[in-house]
Amino acid sequence: MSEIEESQYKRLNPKSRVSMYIGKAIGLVIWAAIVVAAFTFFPQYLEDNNRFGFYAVLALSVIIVIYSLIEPIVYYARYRYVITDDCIDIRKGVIILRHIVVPIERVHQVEVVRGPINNMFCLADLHVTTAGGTAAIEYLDNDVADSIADDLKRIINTIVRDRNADA
Amino acid sequence: MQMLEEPVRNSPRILVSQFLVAAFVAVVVALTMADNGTAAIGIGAAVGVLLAIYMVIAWSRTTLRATDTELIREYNFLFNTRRVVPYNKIASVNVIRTIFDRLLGTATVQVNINSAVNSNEPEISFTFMKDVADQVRNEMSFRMYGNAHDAQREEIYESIIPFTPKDSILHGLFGTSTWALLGSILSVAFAFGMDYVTGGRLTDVMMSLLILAVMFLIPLFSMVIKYYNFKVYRIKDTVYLSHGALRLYRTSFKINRINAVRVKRTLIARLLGKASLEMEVVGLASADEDSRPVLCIMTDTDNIRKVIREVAPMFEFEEGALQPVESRMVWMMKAVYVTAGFAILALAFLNWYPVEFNELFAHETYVRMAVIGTAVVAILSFLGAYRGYKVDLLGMGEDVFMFRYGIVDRCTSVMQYDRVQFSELYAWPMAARRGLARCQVRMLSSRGSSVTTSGYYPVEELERIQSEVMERIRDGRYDYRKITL
Repeated sequence: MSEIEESQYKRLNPKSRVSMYIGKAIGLVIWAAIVVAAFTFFPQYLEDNNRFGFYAVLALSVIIVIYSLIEPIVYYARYRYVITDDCIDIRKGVIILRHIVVPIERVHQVEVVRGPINNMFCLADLHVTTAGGTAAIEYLDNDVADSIADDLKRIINTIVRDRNADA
Repeated sequence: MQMLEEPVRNSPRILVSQFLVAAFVAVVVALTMADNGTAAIGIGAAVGVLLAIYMVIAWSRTTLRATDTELIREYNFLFNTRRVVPYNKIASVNVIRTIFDRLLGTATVQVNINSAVNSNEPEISFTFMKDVADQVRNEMSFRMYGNAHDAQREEIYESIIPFTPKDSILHGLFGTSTWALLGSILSVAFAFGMDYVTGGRLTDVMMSLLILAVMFLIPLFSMVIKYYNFKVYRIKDTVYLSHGALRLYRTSFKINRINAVRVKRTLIARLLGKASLEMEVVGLASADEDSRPVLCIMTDTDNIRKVIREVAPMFEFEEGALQPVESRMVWMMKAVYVTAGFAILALAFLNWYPVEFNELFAHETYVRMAVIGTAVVAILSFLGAYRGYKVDLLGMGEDVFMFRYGIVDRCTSVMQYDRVQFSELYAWPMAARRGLARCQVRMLSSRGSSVTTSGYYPVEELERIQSEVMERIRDGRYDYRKITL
């Protein structure tokens, strides 16, 4: 939102790029295994006069590899977030640029998720769930994720307490 | 609640339908084990009897009672469960009468709460004799809405606008998406076309008739039957809906439970000058199964305006601005990319298609198909882009905002800022370069959550929606007491 100054936004930990690259590398290995398995089972698509499938997979693979190399750099460079007293503001995107605003008042649940790769780098994702869906702040330092989660829970509890007092 | 002060059970008549299920299972088990001769009948019968015994015990251990503040459903067989539903959390109360209910003289009262998790399942579902069900609903209506509604004499309440059987038929025919209708027509046409080409063997014709029934006639009849005798009226702050020929649907909910309204105009509806009205009320999906609850079946657009004015005047909002001129290029570039993508695929296919395809058609035929296909995709893409630019509207009022979208079937969605759960602006490079974006608004809906997307507008303009949502929370215009989730 316009009232948030650019300087208020926080950026990701540089370690997140390495975590992203490892994730992409695992994805590429799985893709390569699927491709090899597919052409092992259907060798006829490697014959000279029947290579539509081969060229299609080759083109797709080149695109996937290039994207996997570029994405972590651009994602890291563009990702920024800020948590104010009443909202969570996230800006991110590689090809499609996204700007997400979640009012803390609408948050029902806060969850810190540590996947195996992020765990190696002491990183975590913070998922905030509203009645309309879930938004996530990704690749946070473990202690930052825990501290934001605690702050959000405190704000949500204060809102609930104030409401119960009103009722 | 006077009726439910003492715990009551479901009407014993529901056991009749449950025994039929047990009998069906018994037959299926017996047939599956037919190789074992007479033993199969014994095993099937044993399974059926055990199931029937379980059903009787489960029936006898399930009770419903009401206190001054809540409804309590208890079940204590194998598991002990106690479900408490406070009246102030109830989103809607539905009375449903299936064919079985009609045969048995019963009716099922369904109580729904505002929950995205259980949006497709009623929180409490209980079957009573019909007059008791009506009485229970009346008492609940009085307790929840503070008005006495006489369900047994529903005919005394006049619908806001009169609906005829013709409206039900039109809604059944043209209320669904044009693409779905087109898909059904093409499937049926293809099936009969193949019959014609192959000489029309009896089995093929039978299969085509089956496709006609499944794809077209059954959905049409079920829609007509479902919305037959449609009635919508309002008493104080409560909206009542009733409809259905074979299965009777009766629903009621407070107007402050409506999260958004959508005026839907399919292609043919627009040609006929008609529209239908849908709404987002959490907890109503169970009454309406797979579709969004209908507040008004297809009728003249003036009638739709009247229903909105009388049922949900806070959603009466029609002013909106078209997308800026710069968005025209974004739409056009989308069409260019789609066409180019299709052309590249077609070219690649022509160069390297698998040898097996040679047996189907000659190479020249594939070339013709690729050229015609690319031309059709190009025409549709550019036409769609032109219409997309011309159709989308964005309007922002004091309490509500509106998105109009849809190239073929048009939808005008009016939403309250206070119901927005969160929003997201997104832009792909062509749009971002021109300072444009689209806005996705996420809300709680009758089927869990819903996403509504705007057209291409300047980022600053769309950020006003996000700002307004936050401003209303900050300055107190957002009152959580009016928006119970």
